[in-house]
Amino acid sequence: MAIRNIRAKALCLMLALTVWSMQAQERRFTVSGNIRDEVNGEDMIGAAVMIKGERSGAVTNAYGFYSVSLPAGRHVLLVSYVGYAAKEIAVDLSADRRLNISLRPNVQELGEVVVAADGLNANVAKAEMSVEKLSAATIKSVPALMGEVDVIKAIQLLPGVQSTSEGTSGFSVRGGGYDQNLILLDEAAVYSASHLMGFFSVFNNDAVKDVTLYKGDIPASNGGRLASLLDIRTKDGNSRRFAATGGIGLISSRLTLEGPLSPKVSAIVSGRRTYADMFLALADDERMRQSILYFYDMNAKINYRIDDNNRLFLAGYFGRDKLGMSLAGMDFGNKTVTARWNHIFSPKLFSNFSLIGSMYDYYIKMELNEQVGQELKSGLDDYGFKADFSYSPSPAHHIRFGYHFTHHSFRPGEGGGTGEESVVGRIKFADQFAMENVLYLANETNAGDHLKLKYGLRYTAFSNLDKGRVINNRQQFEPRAGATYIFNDLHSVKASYSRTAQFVQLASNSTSGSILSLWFPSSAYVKPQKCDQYALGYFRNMAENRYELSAEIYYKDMTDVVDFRDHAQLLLNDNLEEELLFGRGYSYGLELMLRKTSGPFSGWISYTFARGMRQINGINNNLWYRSPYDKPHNISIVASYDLAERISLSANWVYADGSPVTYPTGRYQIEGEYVPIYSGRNEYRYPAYHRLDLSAVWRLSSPGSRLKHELNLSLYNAYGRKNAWIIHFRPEDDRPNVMYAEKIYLFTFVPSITWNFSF
Amino acid sequence: MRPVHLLYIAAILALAACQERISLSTEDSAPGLVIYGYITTDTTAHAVRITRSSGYFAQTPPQGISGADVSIASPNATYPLSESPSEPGLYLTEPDVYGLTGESYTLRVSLDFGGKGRSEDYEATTTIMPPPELDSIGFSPFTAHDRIIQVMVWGRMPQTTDVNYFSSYLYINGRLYNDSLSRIRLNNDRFLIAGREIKAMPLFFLNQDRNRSKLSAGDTVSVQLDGIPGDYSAFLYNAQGETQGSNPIFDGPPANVPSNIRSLAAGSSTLVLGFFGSRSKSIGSVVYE
Repeated sequence: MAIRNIRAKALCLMLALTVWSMQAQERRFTVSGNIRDEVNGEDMIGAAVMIKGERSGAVTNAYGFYSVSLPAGRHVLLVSYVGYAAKEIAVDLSADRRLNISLRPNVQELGEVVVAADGLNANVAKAEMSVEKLSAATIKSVPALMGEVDVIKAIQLLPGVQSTSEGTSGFSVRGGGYDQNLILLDEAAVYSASHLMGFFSVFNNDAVKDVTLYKGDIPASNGGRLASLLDIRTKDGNSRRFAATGGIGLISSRLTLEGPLSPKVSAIVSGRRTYADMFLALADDERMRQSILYFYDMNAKINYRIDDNNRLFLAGYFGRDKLGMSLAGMDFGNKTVTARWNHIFSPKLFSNFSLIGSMYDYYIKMELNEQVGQELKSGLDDYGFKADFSYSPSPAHHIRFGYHFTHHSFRPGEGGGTGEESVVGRIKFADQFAMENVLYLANETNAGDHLKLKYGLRYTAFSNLDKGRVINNRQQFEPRAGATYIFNDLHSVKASYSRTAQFVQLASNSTSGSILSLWFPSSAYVKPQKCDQYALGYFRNMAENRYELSAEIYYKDMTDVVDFRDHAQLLLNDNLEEELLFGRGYSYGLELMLRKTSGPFSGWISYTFARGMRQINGINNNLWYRSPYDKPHNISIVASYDLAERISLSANWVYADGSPVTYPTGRYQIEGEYVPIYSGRNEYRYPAYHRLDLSAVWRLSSPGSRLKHELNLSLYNAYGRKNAWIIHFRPEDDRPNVMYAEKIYLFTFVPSITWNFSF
Repeated sequence: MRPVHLLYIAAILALAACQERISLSTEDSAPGLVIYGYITTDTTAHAVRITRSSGYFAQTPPQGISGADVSIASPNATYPLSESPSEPGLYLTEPDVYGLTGESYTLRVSLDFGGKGRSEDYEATTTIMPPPELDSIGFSPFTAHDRIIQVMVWGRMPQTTDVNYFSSYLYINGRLYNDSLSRIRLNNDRFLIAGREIKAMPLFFLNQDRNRSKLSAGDTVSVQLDGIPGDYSAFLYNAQGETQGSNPIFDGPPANVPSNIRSLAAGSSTLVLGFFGSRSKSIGSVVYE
């Protein structure tokens, strides 16, 4: 009861401050509009609009919109975005004014690399921390496995982020599980972000405009996962001219077409497909010829600028993996659809309304013979509505509030025998339904010239449904707060606190992620997982913002953490809740990063010290144990260098302490074979992981030509480190009583070549 | 490992995987007491093996434990087991002992493990489940590989309200084909259609390019279906999984396989491993042509 009172008082205080801030204004006018890329007309997310001589201003939102309220009179706006020529614009305000601004890129070559994607000193000045932004160009510059440029692989190089396993697109943020990351693609949740057994992510970089990873300090507008928010926005489509981008690689090809359909409408379509199956057709073995192994995906978006105050977007993603041999097969994929309406009620009040759908499903079959051939399909559907508002009554206050509704349908499984001769019955596990109602309110305010404060509250009501009737309710308040003290334009300290709660979780005890995983909701039995994160950081920019330095420490306290019994049966189990165990955990760490944001030589060096522990009754004799992602020391070095006008070189080197692992420490014999006796959970570690990747881009076109094309040569794991993917144990052939360890490693010296073009 | 998992692993291995022997050592865990045996519906000398666990990288076979008092009791009788004179740690009933379907049997073991100077009692109970009915055995080429013959069975599961579990064994000319833990076939009727008919269920896949599984005309092929309790099936299934090792995509963390044998001494610190199970047998034979 006491906690509820505190929460209620905090909410009242926040509302009072917000109302006060809205009332205590002098006579002001508002300058607002969109900031766009001059070349392609794309709205720019996170561009800074500062008032010259002051530390106040605004940052463009996810739709490129800004709004600054100023006293009447002359002001100079300083508009900046890393990698673009900054602009100073004088405005004489005697009335509200709409001012759309275009920024010109500094460099317009294919090989351009701009590491940051934000305002010039956003690292120091923005009232947010634990946030990483990557531009599409940065992602493209990172050497990639098999030449497949990958958003998530680039994210794994950032401090506080780890790959969950060799080569996979699963990632752990500050010790969290891979199912504790909320991945949004144009606001729609992506439940399985991997292709081809997890080795590639579902995000086609050609269609990506902006990538923001919140490792903590998650805005009150977002929640639902404990560890992080990965917010990916796709391009709107070139509104200036028709353009095409594409590439032909060793395992896939891709093509993106975009352009204006009319003065008010632009569109983009981007697709890619792997073609391993085409090579399989050349195999001598008939069974191999009949095998299937490919994935495809497509992003499409159309947007319509109705007028200055209204804009419509319709975006979709469709992707599928197909894998099959004569014995068995599977296919799985995601679909997301987002329809959005931006409406500007007034220069100070921006709104966005979204209708969102997200679908994920998988299908597997086994065809031993007609009698016992079986199939299984499973999945989930989300449908939702969002109404988000941002209100900027003055440069000192930015208020965001909104309402989100999501309806979840979980389909645990349906299938059984396939043929008429089948002896296997048909089964269908009961679908589960839930709805999520969210209200949030947040304010970001300047308390003087040096101090920025932000505070917000998110309220979630999660309800389990049966035939449309609410059968269980869970409620959660999630306060968020932060403070930024700016010493001057070059350095600042920041602190933040956030509570996050997770109402849906993955029924998987795999550490790296599996497509056969099943999501299930909180319920009367399953409490939502909760995390309180505290972070403190120091941020410094140097050499005219070309270098960014940051140091952050964090501590996370997690409760009601879900884990599974030993040998849990998670698939095809209609009593899944019996397999669940609950406990607590904590993690803490230090993240250091030095980044060079622009110039011929750019990149970053990061070091992360991270620890994570869990205690769950029923596991490890109820004692604390290392979390699966407890890898204390991590280093990433990412560098890109323009060697000559037409040649750029890139390299990255990563080091991580080995993953915790449970090794056998004893054995006993059953039915002629040795069964292991294990150490405590995660008591040992795999060998340390390190790898160097190299790439070179050779621009084949002359700088002025409209057709730009290049060759990208890359070498993954250049010094052939045999990093352990699995370590397993087996008896020696001639001495069956003697066991030995064997490691399986996946990728050494993987060269690739990709031809990229644009016009 | 499930077929779809195999498909995945095959794809991964085809992509890039290599393997290499490595040097690795772990600190030996404290020795545990291992008791393993089962009661069957056969009239035979039933065996219970009592051994001591060893370090994982030990180079010697398991060490039997002598001097234990061992018995198996049903509600109506108690059958003492005596240690084999030729094999320390192997305890046998008289050869005329058999179990009855539906009866519960309790294994009792009393011994001083770990040199405590006093005996400690251990106990486990199992119930013999009804066996599947085996009507016939058939052969057909495996669609996925023309050098593999699949051995199929026809029959029906017991008409009970619970899920029935069974383990399967194959004999070729009297020689047990699946003679070790990982080769035991484990099935249940959870997803069989109403009536619980077993129809052309493939249980064994015999590679004709290997001597031990090659069939020749005139060979006698026998299939044995043993009804087993669910907890025993889970024990064998989990033990199979742990001997095969785990991979990060599909499997959860490795874990010790739970035993149904418990110490009766309050606060005992002895690590007890193994299982006492039961099997009700159904067997059929056919001549391969």
